[in-house]
Order: sequence, then structure tokens, then C-alpha cells
Amino acid sequence: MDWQAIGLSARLSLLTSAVLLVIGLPVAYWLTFSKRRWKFLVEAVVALPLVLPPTVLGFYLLLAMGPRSPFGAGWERVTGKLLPFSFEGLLIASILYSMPFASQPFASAFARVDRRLIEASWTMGVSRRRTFLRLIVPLSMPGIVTVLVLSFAHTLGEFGVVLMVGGNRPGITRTVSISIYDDVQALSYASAARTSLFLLAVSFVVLAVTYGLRRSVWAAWPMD
Amino acid sequence: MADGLTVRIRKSFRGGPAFDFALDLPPAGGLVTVLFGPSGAGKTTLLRCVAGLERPDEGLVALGDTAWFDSARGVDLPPQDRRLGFLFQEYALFPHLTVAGNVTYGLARSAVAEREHRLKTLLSLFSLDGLGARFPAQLSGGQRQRVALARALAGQPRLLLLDEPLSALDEPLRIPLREELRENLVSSGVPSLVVTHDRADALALGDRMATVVDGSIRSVGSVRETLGESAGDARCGARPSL
Amino acid sequence: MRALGTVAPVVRSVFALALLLCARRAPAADVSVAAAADLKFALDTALGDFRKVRPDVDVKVTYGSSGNFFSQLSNGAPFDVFLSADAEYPRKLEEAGLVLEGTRFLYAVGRIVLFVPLASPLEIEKAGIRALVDPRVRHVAIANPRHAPYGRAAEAAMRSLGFYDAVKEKLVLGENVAQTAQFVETGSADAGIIALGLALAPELQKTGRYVELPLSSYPRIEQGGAILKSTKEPDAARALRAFLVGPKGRETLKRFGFFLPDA
Repeated sequence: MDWQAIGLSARLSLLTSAVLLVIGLPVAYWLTFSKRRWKFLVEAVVALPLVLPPTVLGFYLLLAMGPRSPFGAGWERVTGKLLPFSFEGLLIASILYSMPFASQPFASAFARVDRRLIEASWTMGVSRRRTFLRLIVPLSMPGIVTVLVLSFAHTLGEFGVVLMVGGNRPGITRTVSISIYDDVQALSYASAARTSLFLLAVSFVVLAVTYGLRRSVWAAWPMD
Repeated sequence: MADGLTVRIRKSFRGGPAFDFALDLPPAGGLVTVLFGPSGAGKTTLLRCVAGLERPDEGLVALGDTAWFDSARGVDLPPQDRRLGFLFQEYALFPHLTVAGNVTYGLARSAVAEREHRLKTLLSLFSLDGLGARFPAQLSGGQRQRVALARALAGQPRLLLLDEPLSALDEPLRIPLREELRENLVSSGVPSLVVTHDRADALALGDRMATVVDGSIRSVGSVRETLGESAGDARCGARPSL
Repeated sequence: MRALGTVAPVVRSVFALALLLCARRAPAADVSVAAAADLKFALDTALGDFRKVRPDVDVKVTYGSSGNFFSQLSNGAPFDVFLSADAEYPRKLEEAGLVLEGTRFLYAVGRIVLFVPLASPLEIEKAGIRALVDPRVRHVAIANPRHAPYGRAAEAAMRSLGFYDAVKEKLVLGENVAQTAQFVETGSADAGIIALGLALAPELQKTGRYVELPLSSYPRIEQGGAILKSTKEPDAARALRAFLVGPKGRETLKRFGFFLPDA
């Protein structure tokens, strides 16, 4: 069993979910409450990774991260390291790939909050930003937690993007999905099966716990 | 400029009704003015424009010499900056906060001691002692109304706005709560503007009344004048028999 | 007179039919080929020549990883001919009884080269593989040695020439040798070891330079092929096979860096 790959995948998934929380909430807030006329363009861009083949996304990401691109060159100047084939590069790719899986559901959760509650908050002198933090986020908590858990599970299985930008470096970018793929390519079917089964079991447990909690804990949560 | 509330606004909805309102309210504390009219007349729109929850196309909304909205000068204060209280239909209590949390929600910027003191005062004023730790879901209809009112008054607003405050209640509850609401509004010392389409509510709650029909204000005056009934009889008739 | 009337239309019909029959060629045969990624340019050119000789055979090629094809063919994928980058796969298929008798063949011996982008400051022509140790080289791309023969050869060459330990940390693995070339071409990797056949492709000639690695430093990359037993067009497949190992085919393959197996 490739524990190194499993550990790497777990780390990648946790970090991706954490960053998605920090970035995804404001993006979702803007998507829900902004009245700008060009909002639909932003929505389309954010949702792009949903329809784009992962390999296409991976290909362009690799180009965008490479030392020949302004972004990649800038990164190198600031950190002294190259972005392609690094864990950071993989993390960035993961975040971009999973962004619509987080920001859309977040936005849905926000949209479900009764508008009158939001207005009540305003009339009591609470700013829009504080209203978001003190009212909208707490009331959307079950939805937010579900999204985080699903993001985690989704990133665990990420393959196409990792294949294009990872470079398959053990302990750095060789995630568990790549490891399984390698096993199959090398005809080590038994090893592939073992790792796959483990991944399947973990995913199942994660989902079962999430939905189980939904029924008991979150069912009592007001205003879902 | 008059010292009370001045409203001169125009608003039209694309492909829909158009509103043109002119209203003045005297600055008398505890004076209850009712906006009375059929559904769709624009009463709620007017109320929301005064609150800053909706924006008129043009005009002026001012309280005393503070301009809340002035299209000529490009002024449009958000509701946060208007020092008002708003009571929503069905109260809009925050389900994830206790009664205490709800009432002190807008007081986050005050010192803790001050906040606690204000909470105690409000709870006793509205007969909510001992209910501070309850959640809205655990309260009765009447208790919820009192919490909503306490919450709206917590920040010491200069004007109180109420949108159909009794429409969420069933008939048996309505009459006693109507009385209670009237008392609370009067003793609050804050001028209030109440929107309702119910005649009995209008009679019971208001000192003055403005009728709103088809997007404009038709008549303003004391309740009894405007409804053309003897106020004494109407008031007595509304009292529940003990 | 009436006899003439009936004869003329009959004659006309027969004549038309005869013309039709003469104009029709033999029905076209469809041959589908699973070919290793590194063969792309060589095989495309060779097939162009083959089409001139046998216009009645329509060849469709799918390029990909030999390992992938092996798995697919083991599970009954409907290809007629398999051209693998590693002779081991056709051998395994034959053992499994999936190959048409006597059609397993060696079609080329592959070579590996050290490949860098055109603008690279590395002097690979002088330093050869030693250039990989240069601190300016941050990533070195090779195909995954676990399942790509060119990757195995690259690793073997580095080991036998004594550079593997120095370069190990910089290694980046491509899923197949084509992706490996892509890593170098786009500048993501500073250098890579790829198939000569790919380095000679017109597109890569424009964007990079290469230098051959000594043949003695890695085991021979025997590229083997086979006709699948499940083929529906054994004759057409055999014709293709014969062409590839015949003089014209060999010449084309050599031009693209695939050297001929010993006669």
C-alpha cells in the first residue's frame, strides 16, 4: 500500500478544502449579492472547470505556471522555486479545479437565507460585511460543512489535472489516484486493487458520516 | 425644514405600477401614524423606501434636518446609517440566536456593561424577564412580537417602522396583541409608521392615518376623521370584554 | 423490327452493367492499428507510402501508451495490428494466445536522446548527460519507468553512466514519452530523455535540440509488433506487416530514428 501517496492525497485534500473555504465564501457572497450587470460573465468563468475536461485545464495550467509565463516567472522571482511539478503548483491546480464545486453550493446556501433576516440586520445598524459573518454564515453552516466534506472527497479522487501538472514525483505530486493508475499501467493489479479498496472505504465512511450528521445534528439546525 | 419625517418620492417599476408619495409626519414622540390602504397600493414600498431597503427613482426622504435620501444631491444613506427600527411582517427574528442575542444584536459596538444594562431594561419593559436564554422557536406569538419590538427599539432609533405587524397572527391572538402593541408604541417615545390593510388594526393602533391608494397618498388626518367614524365608538368596540 | 426494339434496351443494360462492374474496385479493407506514441511521425509517413501501394486498404491508427494498449488488447479491444514500443507486450499477448500464428515481429530498435529546448543554455553537445547535473537544471523529465520502455531505458542509461543519484531528486515522470517531450517543449522541465523518433519530428526539431545517448548505456529497446488473432482482415494486416519490414518501410522508419533490427 502506497502510504506516502495516501498521506500526500490527504494533505492535498485538507489544504484544498481549507483554502476553498477562505476564498470560496467571499466569491460566493459576491455571486449571490452583487447586482453588477456583468455578473453572469464571472459566473461563467468560475463554473468553467465544471465543464472543461480536466486534462485541458491541466494543460493550460502547466503552461500558465511554467517559467515562461508571467505568473510562473513571478512566482519564481518571489519564492526562488519553480511552480510546475511542485506541491504548491498541484495545490493551486486543485483549488482552481474544485472552485465551482465549492462556490456554487456556498452561493446556494446563502441564497436560501431569508432576505428579511438580512434586511433586519441592516436596519439594526450592522454593516453588510458583519451581517455576512454574524448572520449569513452561521445560518448556512450545514451547507458549508457539507461542501467542505465533499470538496475533500472530490479532491481525493482528482486525476486528470494531476496527471497533466504533477510530474508524478513521489511524496510531492504522486497522489493516490496516480499511484493506482501507475499500478494498473505496470500490470500490478493486486496492488492497484488494494489501494483502490482503501480509497473506496475512506470515501464511503466520510460520506456516510456527513449525511448521518445531517440527519441528526443539522436537522435541529434552524433555518436550513 | 419641518422637524419630523418628510417624504417626497417617486418610484416606478418596469412594466408595473408607479408611485408618487408626499407625506409629512410631526416629530411627536409616541405618535403612531398608520399607512392604510388595499394591497398593492404601495404602502410597503413607501415604508421600505423610508427605511432605505428600496431606492426611489427620485425625491427626498429626511428626518428633521438629516437627509436620508436626496436624489438632487446624490445622497442615499444605507439603512445602517438611518437610526431607525423596523418591525417586519412575521418579525424576522434570528433563529440561531437567543432572545438576548436577538435584542442585543445591533449593540455590538457598545461596551459589555452598557449592553447588559440595556438588555435588562428592555426585557423588563416588554415583560420578557427570564426569557433571555430561549430561542425564537420556543416562544409564543405574543412573545415573539415583543422580542421583535424590543430588538427594533434597542438601538434607540429616531423612527420606528412596522410592516403589517399583526397579519401573521390568528384572530383570537390579534385583539389582545393589538392593544399591547399600541401601548408599547405609545410608551416607547418614538414616532412610528405602521403599514396595514386591516381597518380594525388601523383604528386600534393609529393616532393619525394616511390612506394610500394606487400609488399615492389620498388623505391624511386623524384616524377618526379619515375613516369617517366616531373614534370613541370604534375604540370601545375594539376592546375585548373582560 | 420488333426484335430490334427489344434488343437495343437489353444491350444498353448489359453494357451499363459491364461498365459498372469494371469501374468497381475490390471492396476496401479496414485495418485498425494500435501504435506506440513515439511512432507517430514515422508511421504516418510510412502509411502514406503504403496507401499508394495498397489503396484498397484503409488504415486507421490510434497512438498511445504501449502498456495501455496491452491492457486493452488483453481484454479484447478490437484492434487488428499492435505496434508496441516494447517487444515484451506482444510476447505476452502471444503467450496468452491472442496473436495470429507466426505474426509476431520486430520492426525497429529504438534509441534515446537527451533533449532540451532550443534556447537552453545547456551545452548538451559537449557535455552529454553530464549536463543534467548543472544546477540550472531543476527538473528532468523521463517517461515513467514502471510502464514505459523509453523511461526504463532512460533510467538505465542514467544509472549505468553514474548520474542517477545526482539527478534522482529532479526527476519528473511523464505518463508516456509524448507527454515527456511536452514537459520539455513547454519549458516546464529544463531537460528530458525521450525517443529519438520523437526528437526527429518536425515540430520538435523546431523547438528543441538533442544529443544521442551512448547505445551501450541502456538495454536494446526492441520495438515489436503483432497481428491480433481476432482480426477480421488477416490478409490486409499481413500486407501492412510485410510493408513495414520491407525495404520501403524500413527506409522510412530509419529516417525517423527507428533503426532496423538485424536482418
